[in-house]
Amino acid sequence: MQRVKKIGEGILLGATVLLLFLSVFYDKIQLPVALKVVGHMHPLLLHFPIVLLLIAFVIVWIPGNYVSEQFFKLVLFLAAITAVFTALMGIFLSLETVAEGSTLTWHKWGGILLALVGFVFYHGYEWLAEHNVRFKSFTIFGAILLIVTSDFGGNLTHGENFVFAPLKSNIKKQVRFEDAIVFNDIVKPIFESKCISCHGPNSQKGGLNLVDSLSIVKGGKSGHLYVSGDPVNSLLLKRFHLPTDDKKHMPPISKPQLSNDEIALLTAWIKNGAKYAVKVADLPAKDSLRILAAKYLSTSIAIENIQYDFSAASESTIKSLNNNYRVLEQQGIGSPAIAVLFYGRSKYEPKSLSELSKINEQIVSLSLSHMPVKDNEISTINDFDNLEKLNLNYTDITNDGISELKNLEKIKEISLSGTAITINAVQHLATFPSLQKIILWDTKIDTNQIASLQKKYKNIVFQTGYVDDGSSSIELSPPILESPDGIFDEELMIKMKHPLKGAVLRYSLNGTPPDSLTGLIYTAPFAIKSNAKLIARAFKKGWIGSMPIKAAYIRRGFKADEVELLSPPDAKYTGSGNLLIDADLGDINFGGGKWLGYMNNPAIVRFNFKKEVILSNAMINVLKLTGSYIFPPVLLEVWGGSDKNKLKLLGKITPPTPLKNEAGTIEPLQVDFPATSVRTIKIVAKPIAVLPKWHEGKGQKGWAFLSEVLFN
Amino acid sequence: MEKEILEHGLNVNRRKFLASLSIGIGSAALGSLLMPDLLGGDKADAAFMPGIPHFAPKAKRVIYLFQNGAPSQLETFDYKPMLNKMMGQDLPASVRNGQRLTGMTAGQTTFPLVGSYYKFNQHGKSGAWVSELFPHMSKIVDDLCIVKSMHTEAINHDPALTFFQTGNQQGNRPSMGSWVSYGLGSENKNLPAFCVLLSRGRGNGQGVYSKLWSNGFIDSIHQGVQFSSGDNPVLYLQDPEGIDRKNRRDMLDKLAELNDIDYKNFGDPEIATKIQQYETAFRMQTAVPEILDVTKESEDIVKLYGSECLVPGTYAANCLLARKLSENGVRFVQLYHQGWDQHGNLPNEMRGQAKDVDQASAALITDLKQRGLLDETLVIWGGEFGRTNFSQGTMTVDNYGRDHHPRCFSIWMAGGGIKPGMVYGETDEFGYNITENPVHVHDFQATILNQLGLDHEKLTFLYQGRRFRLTDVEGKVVRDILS
Repeated sequence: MQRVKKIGEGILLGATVLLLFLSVFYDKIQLPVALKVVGHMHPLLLHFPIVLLLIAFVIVWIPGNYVSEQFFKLVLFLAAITAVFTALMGIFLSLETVAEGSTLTWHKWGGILLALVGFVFYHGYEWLAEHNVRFKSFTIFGAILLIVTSDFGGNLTHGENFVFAPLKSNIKKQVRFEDAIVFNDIVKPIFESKCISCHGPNSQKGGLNLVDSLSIVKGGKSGHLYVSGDPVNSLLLKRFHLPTDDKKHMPPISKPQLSNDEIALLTAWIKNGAKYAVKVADLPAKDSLRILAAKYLSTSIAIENIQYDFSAASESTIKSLNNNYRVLEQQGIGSPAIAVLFYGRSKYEPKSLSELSKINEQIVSLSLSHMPVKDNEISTINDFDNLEKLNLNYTDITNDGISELKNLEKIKEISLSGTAITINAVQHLATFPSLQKIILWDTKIDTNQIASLQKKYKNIVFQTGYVDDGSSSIELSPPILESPDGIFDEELMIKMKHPLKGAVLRYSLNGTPPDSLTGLIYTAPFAIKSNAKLIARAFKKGWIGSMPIKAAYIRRGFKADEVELLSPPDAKYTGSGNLLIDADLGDINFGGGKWLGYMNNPAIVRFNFKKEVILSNAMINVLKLTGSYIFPPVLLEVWGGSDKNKLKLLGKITPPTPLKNEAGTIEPLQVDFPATSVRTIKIVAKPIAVLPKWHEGKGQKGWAFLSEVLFN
Repeated sequence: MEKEILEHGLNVNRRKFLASLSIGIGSAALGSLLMPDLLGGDKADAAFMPGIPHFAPKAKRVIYLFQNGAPSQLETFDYKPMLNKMMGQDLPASVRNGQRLTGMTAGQTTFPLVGSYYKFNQHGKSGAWVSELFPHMSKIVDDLCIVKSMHTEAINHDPALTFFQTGNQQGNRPSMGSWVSYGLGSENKNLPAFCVLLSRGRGNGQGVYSKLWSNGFIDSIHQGVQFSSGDNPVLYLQDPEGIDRKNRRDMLDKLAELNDIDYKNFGDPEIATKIQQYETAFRMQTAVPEILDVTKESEDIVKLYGSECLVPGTYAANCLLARKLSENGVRFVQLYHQGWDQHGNLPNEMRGQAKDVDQASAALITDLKQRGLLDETLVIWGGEFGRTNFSQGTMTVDNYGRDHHPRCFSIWMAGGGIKPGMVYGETDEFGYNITENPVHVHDFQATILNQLGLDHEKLTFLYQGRRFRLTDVEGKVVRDILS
């Protein structure tokens, strides 16, 4: 007997220490599922300490030795041990409750204190008796504490079938916006979460039952719940809006309160006429109920992890199946669901798929895209009870494999793009009741068949994609020119290509744009020996002809050996004379040091050749950028001769003044003259002295900018 | 004798005490089983497990089509007929409200309003307004969610771009792709989790810099890998001549052994990263050429994206490549198309830029959809800020420019659990201020992470004593646009 007593006392001590420990580190507890069940037995066990403690307290008050010492100690022990276990269970239970407020806190600490009272009473009884402390007062304190704690506990109402709730599945109903019904999917869930524990099938406080539309319409003892269309005068909302310390405020302050969004939703619902069968999607677009409902539906789906009614696979199983070519992805922390994706076609083998049967319950999404999966491997998939999404794009699956698929009760979407399946396979799949979407692009199924399928199975989306049926007019990309434009000496090879096989390249060298019938056809690189303005386009049957590409090629017959700047360029745009013979045309961003700029004096430049050459023209490249005050020179003179001191005027031109809004370009200005043998050429370019009237700087001086000068 | 009795009593007590103590400690130990993090760290750390999303993800991957230089919202998706009506009139001071200007227009004495040179039409079931510059995007507008109420804090390209990509204007923080790689890990272990593709249009614009795809202070394995368009798309991936695959394998094994010794001695996590990177690179040697090969793409696909998709380095080629990378499990594919900075010559330059991107962007959406991948891939199209409703420099009907405008701009998103066929947010009739549902860059970032199953407040990295986040201390998931 002593032994049993010792074990019992040990358990009591251990449990008490555990209780104290847990109450100190309360915030850090993370409860496993098994202990949740233990916690849920709190309401069962709690009646024992209540009764036993009360008996013990009563015995103290019984005069004389009416009750034996041993029996009293036994009662005390049982009271203490049931109290401490009740408190422990209570702590477990409280971790699950979302209810905030003081009731739970008071109940919790009351329970802990009661357990300590039981412990002290049992162990301290003899000491108290010996030291003649009148512990009758102690029992009064204990009894009051007991009653108060029980009362708080009683206020925390519990629903039906509470104990085994964690063992049952708790699937959150996901409602799509299009399917949502205002009452069933918005109003009712609010009642269910916040009201029904007191106004439901188990308890109808105030005679009110919110379980279905009939009882809601009936209302309670205080009258009808709402006045349709008039939220202000509706009892339901009045109760929500009462001050929280008002007894009639609902829900009672100790219970979870309605959020502002929820109140707004119920208000909008009543205002809308408190209809029961209306779909959210059928409400007008700007309707406040619709807007609030949309928000409610999206938050309730997005924030929470999807709940599944299967348990997680072990971490080691997941780890052992995960490798570089087969990826297992857990769908959220704490979620048992797994997505499996295969990569690396060459590494795939049949057992890569069959090994997954270890996690057949947990796979919700499987991608075998581009894997060489054969028909005879497909039956493994039938064991994946919770599979929702299956990707078989570009696998070797045929109709035979698809006909093997069965029992997939949760399947929502199957991708079959790029497979050899035909309409028979699709008809087999369409009988799966949960299926919502089949993706069928790049298969042997034609548009007529898709249309007939769609007609027959209205709940399934048959997704196709882009197929070139000749109706879409897509422009071909332009040819790619591999010979950069600009200046060349004597001869240049012109090379073009097009990325698309079978594209025909047509071109001209005189600046007239080719079309699909005119112009030369490019077959192989060709050489040019004189100036050319290349325009090329690409054509192919079924495509719109490309935009043209343009390039100007300028031949440089003779290159001067020396350049002398006889008049200085402006200090801002200066450089060596070699700028004019470096085969670089300069660009329209004139700040790059590739231009010589003149404003106050004409440009006078002398080009010297080591050997006598016969020339018939000079091309001077100038900049036209009127917004920046840069105009072509108003006069260009070309002088030449064998002796640099005895030059004669060979030719001159007066380029026209540009008009307003002419685009900025580099202008090649060519001065022709009779063929002359020369060793020196002098060029004189006169900048514009008076800007035209249309220009913002009219009357002022303008710039002349010179770059490359070419002789032929 | 008395002493012995006392000692006996004490011994008994001591034994009893120890026995009781063991029960007590045992109980505490039992209790501690319920508290996995009693001794290590706090809850914030436990809330994040690298490689596992916080909650069920809607999107597995992201393709971000960044339009670098900031395309004008007024010639793309934000239709403002008022600007055409008031063409040339000064922007009312009550609208501008003293907002800052860039140095480029600060000197202007007038701010003449300028309407779009391009016409707008409504498209799709959603009736969204799209400019005629984007005929292909117009056709898929019912797959898009156009957000017209984006706004940012920066007014110049580099800080604005850096802000978008890293959540901070100054740089040195991890890029969005790096955060995603850090949060979710790589999906296909034979490719980087974060890839970067660059292209350039003929329009005016600055370049991009590798700091935009930097891993910042996170492990360097999360850095963006830039694919280039030349013969070696991934630099230093090819074996030098004379080294075959077996040679390489042997070398890597030996190297790993050596690195492992070093790792055991110093415990530097960068060493472990290095070993991993070598291994990934080894597998990439076979995976990358297979993916980059576009010759096996069907004629339909070429037509869908446009024949330019066969020219490496173009936007179209990058879109096609983005689809291939994404289909092969690359978490985050970041494209940049440069040349959208139209301070002048806007009508002309935007025509070219739009032509570069219109068909291929739309094609990407269609292509993902026909493979059943659009639901799990989030595609984003947009620049770093908007452009002013008044002209910069001289203005004619067909030639004007627009300066930087951070107060409102338009982007679109598609797939990945974003509501299709939606236009979100509204701006005033001048296209200057937001009047409805503003979306800050941090909100946008929080939303992207949310779609990937990551809580932007919990995805943190402890560095220099502070828990850093992509969204810093701000950001709210834009739930209205989630499907």
